[in-house]
Amino acid sequence: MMRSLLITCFLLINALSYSQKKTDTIWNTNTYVSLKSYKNTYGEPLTKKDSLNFKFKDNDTLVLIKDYVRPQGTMVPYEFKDSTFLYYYKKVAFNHKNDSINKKTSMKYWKDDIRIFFSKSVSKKTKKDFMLFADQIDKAVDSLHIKEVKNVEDSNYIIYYFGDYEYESRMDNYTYSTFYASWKHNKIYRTTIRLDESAFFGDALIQYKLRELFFQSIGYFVLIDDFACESYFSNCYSPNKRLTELDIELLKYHYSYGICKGTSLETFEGQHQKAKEIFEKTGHQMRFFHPYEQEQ
Amino acid sequence: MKKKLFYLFVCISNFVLCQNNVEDIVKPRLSFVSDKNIATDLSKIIVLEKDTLFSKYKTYDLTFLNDSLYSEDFFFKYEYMVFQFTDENSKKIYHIQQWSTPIIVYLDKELPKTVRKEFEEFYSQIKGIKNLKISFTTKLENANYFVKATSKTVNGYDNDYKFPDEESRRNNVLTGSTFKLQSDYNNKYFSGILTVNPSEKDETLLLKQLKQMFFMSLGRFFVSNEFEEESILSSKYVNSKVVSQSDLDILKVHYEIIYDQAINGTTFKKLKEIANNN
Repeated sequence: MMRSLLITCFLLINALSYSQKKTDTIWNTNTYVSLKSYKNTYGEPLTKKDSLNFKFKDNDTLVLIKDYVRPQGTMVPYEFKDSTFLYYYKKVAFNHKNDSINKKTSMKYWKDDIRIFFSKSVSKKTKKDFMLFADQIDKAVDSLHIKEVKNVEDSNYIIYYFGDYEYESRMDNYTYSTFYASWKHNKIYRTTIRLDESAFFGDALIQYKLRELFFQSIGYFVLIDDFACESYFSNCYSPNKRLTELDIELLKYHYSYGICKGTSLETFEGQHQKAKEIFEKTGHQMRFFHPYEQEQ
Repeated sequence: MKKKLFYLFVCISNFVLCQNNVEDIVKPRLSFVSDKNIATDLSKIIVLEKDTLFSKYKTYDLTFLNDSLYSEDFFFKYEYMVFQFTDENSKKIYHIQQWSTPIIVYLDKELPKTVRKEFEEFYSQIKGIKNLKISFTTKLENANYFVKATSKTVNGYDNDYKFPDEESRRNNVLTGSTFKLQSDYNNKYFSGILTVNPSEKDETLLLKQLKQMFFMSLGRFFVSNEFEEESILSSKYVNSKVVSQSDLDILKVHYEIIYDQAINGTTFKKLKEIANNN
């Protein structure tokens, strides 16, 4: 996992002009990585020859990697956000176990399109209204695509009610409505919502609960007590729930190429600190490399 | 050492003195808006690519908690029925539970017509209470509160709950009825189902039970045999046709503010202190 992250988020100091445009790259070059990155990525002991090529920069020892072949991918500039935004982003994106802040906690995201299958019990009206909401998210977030599929085999997201076929056996003894997400390397690859239709007896109530659970599940987000209840990121009910401007910005940022995805809180904070320092020192923007094909 | 203690004392004093604002005790929830003119807190700004968002939050007027408005007994009763006199250090902590949305009630057609009619008449008296609206609908689809009849055995307590005698069990308001409320993560209700077994009860008893259970579900209030008989939360309730003034006052205090955060007994006391010091 670490290897994948390191490759994905290989950081470069961009001496060129700032550009939002993504550029395809295939590089075969000599490059330097930090000692820590080298150990995590290669795990091989360093030789005397290696040490002769060491470079020292900003209290970091850099190791030369000869003929490094970078996979095909894109280089995207670091997306700057102010401290207030980042404060809230960290609160919603890093879902700590037992509410105890842990620097090792990683954010989760969908890499593939979300393909939703509804069980037969879900009414046409519920599906239609729900998909309107899903479409709003789909349109707002470039790299997250959501669609409905007719066959369960084609899906990676299932919505069903109590009493239906148990699509997720790990939820069959749950007495409350919730979702179950599965991920690998912090990439969510399957989620199931199981809803108690008898507790949510009207379509408005069903719709509310489905949307709340779905929204939470698309980034394994934490619902927080900082925002007014209209926000989907807030942990309180409102009959006027809507995707606020800030909700959309937080979502877009979560799925932005301008940050490393699937990182731990520690890495996330470290990268922002680094990016800030680089910008202050050099006026240049840090860049993130995202290969097209990532390790699964 | 003396110096350290002095600084510690100063710090603690400052902290205590600073707890004079509601916002220090109940964290306000922020809305981020583009219009700077309606912002209430300019210290929290979010700069986006094409916009700047300013924060705003609602402020509370705590006058309603001033002791001069109600008797000492009133708040004593209120703190019992809401918190059971617990505070933040108690083994089990109770919080204020509120409905944060208008309540739209659907009464099951299986319930006797006269019971439905009188129930509706009784609760239609509750009008003009800020943040609490109760209305009725004839379509379940439009409701968020379902009063449901069942032929199954239902009780609002666990099967192993021990009563001193059979009569106490039979007379308990939770015998033959229960409610399940859907709450968000902030102790606010948004839907509920009150289930009652109408068999083995005459209509008067059934109506009394429904009235009491529904009232309890307006704030997960506790019943006591210490309350006056006119109070719907008294275990000796006389089943009056009129909502008592003290019950209305309870609802007024309970719903004057929909609190942004969970409020336990300790927080409530702090809010009362502010109300009485200002």
